[in-house]
Amino acid sequence: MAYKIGIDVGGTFTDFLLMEDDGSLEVYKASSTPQDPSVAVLNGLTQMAEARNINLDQFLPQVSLVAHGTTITTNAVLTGNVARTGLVTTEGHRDWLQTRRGLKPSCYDPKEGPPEPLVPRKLRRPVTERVAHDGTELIPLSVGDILDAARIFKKEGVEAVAVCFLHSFVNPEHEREAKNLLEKELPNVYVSTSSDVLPQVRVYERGSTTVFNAAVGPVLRSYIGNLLGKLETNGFQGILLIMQSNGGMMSPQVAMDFAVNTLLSGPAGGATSGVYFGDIHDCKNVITMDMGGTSFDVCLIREREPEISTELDVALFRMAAPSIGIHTVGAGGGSIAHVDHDGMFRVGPKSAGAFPGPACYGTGGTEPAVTDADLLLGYLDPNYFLGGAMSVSPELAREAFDTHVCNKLSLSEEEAAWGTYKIVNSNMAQAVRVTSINKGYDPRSAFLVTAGGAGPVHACAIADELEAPMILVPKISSVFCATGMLISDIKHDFVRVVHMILDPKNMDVPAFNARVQDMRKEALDVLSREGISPEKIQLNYWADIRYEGQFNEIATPVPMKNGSRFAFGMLSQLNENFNKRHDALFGYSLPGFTQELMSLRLTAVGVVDKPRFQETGFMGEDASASIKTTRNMYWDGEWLTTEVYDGPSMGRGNTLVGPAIIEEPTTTIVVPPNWQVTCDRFSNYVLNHVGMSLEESFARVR
Amino acid sequence: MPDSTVKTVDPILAAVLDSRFSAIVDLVAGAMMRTSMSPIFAEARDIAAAIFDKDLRLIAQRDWLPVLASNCSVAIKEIAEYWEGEVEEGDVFIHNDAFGRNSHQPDVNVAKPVFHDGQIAFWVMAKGHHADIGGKGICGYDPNASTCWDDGLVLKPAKLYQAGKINRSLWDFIKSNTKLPVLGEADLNCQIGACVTGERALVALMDQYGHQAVEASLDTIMDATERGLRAKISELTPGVYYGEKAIDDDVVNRGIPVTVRAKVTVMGDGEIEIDLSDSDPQVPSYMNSTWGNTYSVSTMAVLYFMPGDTKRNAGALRPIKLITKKGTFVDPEFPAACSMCTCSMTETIFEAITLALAQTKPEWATAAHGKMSLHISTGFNPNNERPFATIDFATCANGSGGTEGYDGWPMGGPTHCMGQLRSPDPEIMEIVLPVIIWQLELTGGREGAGKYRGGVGANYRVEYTADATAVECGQGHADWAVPTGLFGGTSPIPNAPRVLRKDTGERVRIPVNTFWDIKAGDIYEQDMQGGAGWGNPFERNPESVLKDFLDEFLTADDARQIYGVVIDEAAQSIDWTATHAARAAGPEKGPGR
Repeated sequence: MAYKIGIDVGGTFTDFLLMEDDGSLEVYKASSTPQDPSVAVLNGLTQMAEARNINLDQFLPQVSLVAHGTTITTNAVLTGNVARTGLVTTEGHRDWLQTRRGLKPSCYDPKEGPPEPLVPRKLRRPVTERVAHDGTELIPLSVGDILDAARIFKKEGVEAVAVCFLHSFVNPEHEREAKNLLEKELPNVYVSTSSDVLPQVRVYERGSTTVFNAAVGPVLRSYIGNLLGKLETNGFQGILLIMQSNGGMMSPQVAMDFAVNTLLSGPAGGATSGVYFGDIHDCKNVITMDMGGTSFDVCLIREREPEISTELDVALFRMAAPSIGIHTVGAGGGSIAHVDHDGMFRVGPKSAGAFPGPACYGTGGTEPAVTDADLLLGYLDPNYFLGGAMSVSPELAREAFDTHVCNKLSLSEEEAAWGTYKIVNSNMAQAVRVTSINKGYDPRSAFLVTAGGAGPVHACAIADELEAPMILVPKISSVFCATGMLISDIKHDFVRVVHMILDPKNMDVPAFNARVQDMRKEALDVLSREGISPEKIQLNYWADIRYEGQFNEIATPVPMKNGSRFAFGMLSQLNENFNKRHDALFGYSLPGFTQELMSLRLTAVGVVDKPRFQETGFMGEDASASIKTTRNMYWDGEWLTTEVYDGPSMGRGNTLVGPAIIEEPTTTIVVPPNWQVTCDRFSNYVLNHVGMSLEESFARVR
Repeated sequence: MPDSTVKTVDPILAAVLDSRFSAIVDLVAGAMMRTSMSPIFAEARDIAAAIFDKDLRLIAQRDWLPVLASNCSVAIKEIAEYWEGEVEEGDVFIHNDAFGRNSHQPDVNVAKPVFHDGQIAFWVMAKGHHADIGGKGICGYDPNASTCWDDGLVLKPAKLYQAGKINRSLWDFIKSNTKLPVLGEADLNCQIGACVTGERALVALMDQYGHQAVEASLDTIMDATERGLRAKISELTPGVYYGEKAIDDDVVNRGIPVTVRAKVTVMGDGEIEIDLSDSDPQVPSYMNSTWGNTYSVSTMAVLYFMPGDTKRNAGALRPIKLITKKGTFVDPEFPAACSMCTCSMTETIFEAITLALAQTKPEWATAAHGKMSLHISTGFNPNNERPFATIDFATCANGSGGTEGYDGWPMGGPTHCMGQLRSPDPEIMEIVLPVIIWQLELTGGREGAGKYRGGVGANYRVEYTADATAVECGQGHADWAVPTGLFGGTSPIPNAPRVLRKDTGERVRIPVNTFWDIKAGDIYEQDMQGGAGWGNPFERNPESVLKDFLDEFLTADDARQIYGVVIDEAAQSIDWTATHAARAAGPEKGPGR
């Protein structure tokens, strides 16, 4: 037996998905242990062993793969629990981290203080050195200044140092020299250079990313060391992989050097998971929507590739390393419905969170939350909350709406609850638009995959707003991210500054191919160190192109596969791709205008053996045997008598027509009157509009 | 879509659309920023975007340069009224006439009507500061200008595209009368693309919800904003309040202050009237503020004073009344020069109004931001063999003013930027210009002190590697023009830009509002002004004083003298006994430096 295990360490729970050789699945859950997250990991693994009546040290030797996503670095940043970090930078440029290019979030609100940088000013040490924009050395690195900085860092108990000099993305020599000196002076201190972490122009963006890397490096290093130790002590001989923000996995050794790449490790699993669920139905364009208690995460997947962003802000500081473009808005079950001081009806972004929680929890919350609205509208069963693990009070929900909304806007309770439902759905639909339409992609031709406890309650309404024709709710919705981790490939991003004009006269194809080969060599080296054999490697190239003179580039795919070279004949296609993309995004293009290549990117994928999920047995079309009761649900102005289905007893082939409610232990699927449901061959729920056959609907999203 | 529901529960659709409109102006502004070829648009974001309904009421604006953004609501009226009855689908308008309700001429408005079912449904406007719009100045700034024609080309509202067809003669006319036609053309292209981006999003919105449902929600959105603003104004004690602020001088008559006088009347019905009629007469240089700019600043000053991030739509403008007198330097007669209206004049008008409003509720007031002395240059860049002209936005790295509860932001920028201008990246600047930026970092000690101190300004040193012509524009060099501290807070020290000459090795003070020459190897230097302080420095939390000391923004000597806080330098901590004694004794020579 060779087990594969996906683990998602979240803020509240650590979720586990265990897969056996035959592809059958088991779900486990353990309470997270923020002090030392590896405790929860080991607890979950112990549960698996116990379920087999064996000891952990008998179970672990049978595990071939542990794929692991973690919010440990995210939480470290958000709570300030990072390593004490120092920064070494070019003299005269000490404060780019603090000034953040001078930007203040709210223009017209003076009562807003600037955020504190991760590195206080006295630990930001300027050193004498200078490199010009073309890479020539203007002033040599002052060894004395580095030694002075090291002395201060030692005295101040610094645990990590970021090094970021001007123009190091062109010439990294000074950073390397500084790193060597610092590592010699400060053994055991984690040293990270900007030319290693993110060799690209703009000092604040590159430097801030490097500071994040340094600040979370020791945290991740000690966690991974700890976890690996515990696993090996108990006989684990398989492979441990860590989820990165870019949607791929990496080995623990690489993760320890590029810790910043785990800042979005948790939600990134969801994106890969979205690709997987799309694949089941041959849909290459997917939008994943994950709605939990406080936030709604959306990710766009085009042609099986999740959208990648380099403009993420974490706690108001820039994290520019490529990450899955997960767009997060403050909309969740805990989002509070209120009337603002202008008299407008709003929902969120303030959230009741897990504590005090929505009013209906009876744990002290008095303001009405989205969950309260869902309850009053009959979508949730007060006696089957979290599969019956918790009971909730419609009375408290009603009271909260009366006090905070109904009285102020002269709305009935149903209207206020329905209004809350509509507004939060609209906010979520808007988040989907931002990730799709704003990037030139139409959500009407996307397959929506929705997860999270609250997602399926709202999915059809969101789809209606977007005019999206189809939704998939995974049978194992609660371990959506853990699923992604289990099926993710190893993935690394590389970037090289290459400047040339992309026209037949000026394009230097040999130089272009030389940079390609250079990146390719580095990619193959890293992947081979991670044990990936050459035939399992996929390389995809991107060109950052702009019209000559512009300041921003658009990443444009280069029509070139693995080891192949760029051929002159591909140029016109590349030019045309860029023009089209420019028009779609920005309302115009300039055909014939000189195009300028600024950098080349390589995404290197090491394909890992995918676990095969086991298909479930056919259970017939008729789902009526699963009807457990009926109750009234409010929809669009009226109360509808609605059949309630027992999800766990439903399976492949079952169909039903809305209005209906399907209750799974960790989520509830609300099926409005114009929607119908079919269970696919893995018993996932596929929803489409009444009057359309599955094939007709799929035709619109394939 | 379930249209019936949204009609019965109107507040819900209104909330939905309100956030959609905000997202749409972001798209419009974003298209300009991401595709411009001028660092003024692309790096600094000296641009703004706005959308309007068919009746030209402001629905939403994106304030990347707030003083530009708040002008859009009147500039659009000039365009639409000028062409009333002749607007066709596919038209794109251009306009920069400073006496036609625009701000100043370098700020070029591009606007596009959005049609639905053959009728105008919305307008989209993309506005930005062009690198050149003709005239003798650099990037539009000529201290010797005495008329608007010296400032640059004057464009009455005109059709750049008519019914979808390009007006080639106008396009060529603009290119042939500006000094950097390649950049100008690129800026126009990205402004038009930005309008198209907005148009596509608005059409999609109407297709989804129906034109009428969208239109019906606009009143709800605007009324809500108006109600909220009136409620805030009603918290102020009705009455008449006065404030005044002077500029260094009018450029021609050196050393003589020219004063903006604001009479602010808080009405009992939640309205505010700003009367600037008593301001000094118009001046013979570019230190005049056009009516369009004065209007913009007046609304900014009121909205910034009010708590919370008030939405900028037509509802927010209704309670604010502006009165000016023709012939004053805040509403000059045609054909006055007025290029500095969006900078120095904005700072000065804003501060005069704020000084009046501050008397109504001290805890809402923010002391003035550091005054800007702007470095602008032009020349030929041997690195890329192209001419360049650049507004050096690093010289906008001023600290902002303090307010109760909050110190000013470091590098928060001057008043017209309000923390929205993006400070240049030194690497990008060295790539596109013949410069080496030796220093751009915070240096404490020059900001205004206070219970909440002004934001720290930056020190800036840039070496030119090629010859260039420069102009220094701005205010805040004379004692009377520096930002005023509030309620015991003090002023920052005056601006003093200088050049370190390579040939002589001498540091020379650069005369302000004057052209000057740069030789390769010269280094331009400025210690950008910090913000003014709020409240008595001796009431500042000693822990905050210690933090400034540890951050190396404040010396122990200054901590004792300015703030009455005694720091044990060896222990890096507060000597509380000595501090209590120092504070009880009071400042040696009055608060401040």
